[in-house]
Amino acid sequence: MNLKIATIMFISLILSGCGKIAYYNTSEEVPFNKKSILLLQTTGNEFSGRQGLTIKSINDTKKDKSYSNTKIEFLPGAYEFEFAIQGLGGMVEAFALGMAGGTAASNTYLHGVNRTKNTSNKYKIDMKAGRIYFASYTIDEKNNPLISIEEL
Amino acid sequence: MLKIIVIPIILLMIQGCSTFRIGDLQSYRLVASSTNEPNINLQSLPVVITHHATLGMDSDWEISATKKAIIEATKEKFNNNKVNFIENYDSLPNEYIKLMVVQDLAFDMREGDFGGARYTLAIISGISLMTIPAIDYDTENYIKIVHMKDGKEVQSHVYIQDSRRMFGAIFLFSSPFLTMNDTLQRSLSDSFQEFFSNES
Repeated sequence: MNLKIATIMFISLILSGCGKIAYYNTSEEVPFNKKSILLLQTTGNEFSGRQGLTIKSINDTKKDKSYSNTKIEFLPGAYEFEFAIQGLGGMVEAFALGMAGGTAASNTYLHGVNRTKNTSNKYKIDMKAGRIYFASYTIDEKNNPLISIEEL
Repeated sequence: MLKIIVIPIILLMIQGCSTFRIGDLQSYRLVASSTNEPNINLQSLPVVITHHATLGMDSDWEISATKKAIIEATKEKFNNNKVNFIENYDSLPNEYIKLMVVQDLAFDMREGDFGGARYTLAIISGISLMTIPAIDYDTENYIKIVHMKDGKEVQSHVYIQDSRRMFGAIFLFSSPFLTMNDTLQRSLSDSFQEFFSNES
């Protein structure tokens, strides 16, 4: 029994390193009126899974860890983004399948989402302090994502 | 034995036997008032509402009634018939209150948020009857209230309030069973109170 608890705790510690990045060049301590926030749209639900935008690169720089699928905070300035559509596992898949590989595969099967579907264009935004930007997407008839970014 | 404990807790959690820990209201003034406008009754002005959420509103049942919740909370403070979403206005009035409601529903296991361990920790909490964040949303509500006049921003304030959903055996008897819409209504109510205390 102790071995099981120790194993669960060990897995928890490993997984705890898999958090998404919510801050690009700023931090939680920076007040809202001195930073810009980019929100990303997602659809779906928590039980069967979701699909949504994710950022593949910022200013041509790709990072090892993936960015948050809902919010990233920046210092004001001009940034260039590359997006992708990503499937996200729901509770059912998480409990049934557990690890990311299984979740990704089942999302592709359930929702027809290709996790590697990158947008062909780069999107440049001049972000101002104390402003929120909202990136949303639609899928055209050729299955290509169309991104729009608006300042709220 | 394990199944007897875990399955009911999962079922209760799904049914909404949880509550939210609501954070402090942060307030930021974006546009300082350029003129001293005497005794203007902002509460009688039309309110033009926009709403954005990082999770599509048409999908999760709990946020499908969000628009109704926003209208209800706004009408409590703006006691007039001119409270509506922007798509219901044919043209914008000369002077109005622009209310922007943005919900960031952080379901994606961010850094510093127990990371990817939340699913596992939730199961451990179910077994051990501890209280920890549930495998559900952390929400961050951004409420922007702008006094618009002749196309210009006279006053602009942003209020931010976060909430984290918790669950655990100890909540089953004492939980107020707050939903996401309840937390949003509270954020709106707190923001209006703060906004009008600044105006007076």
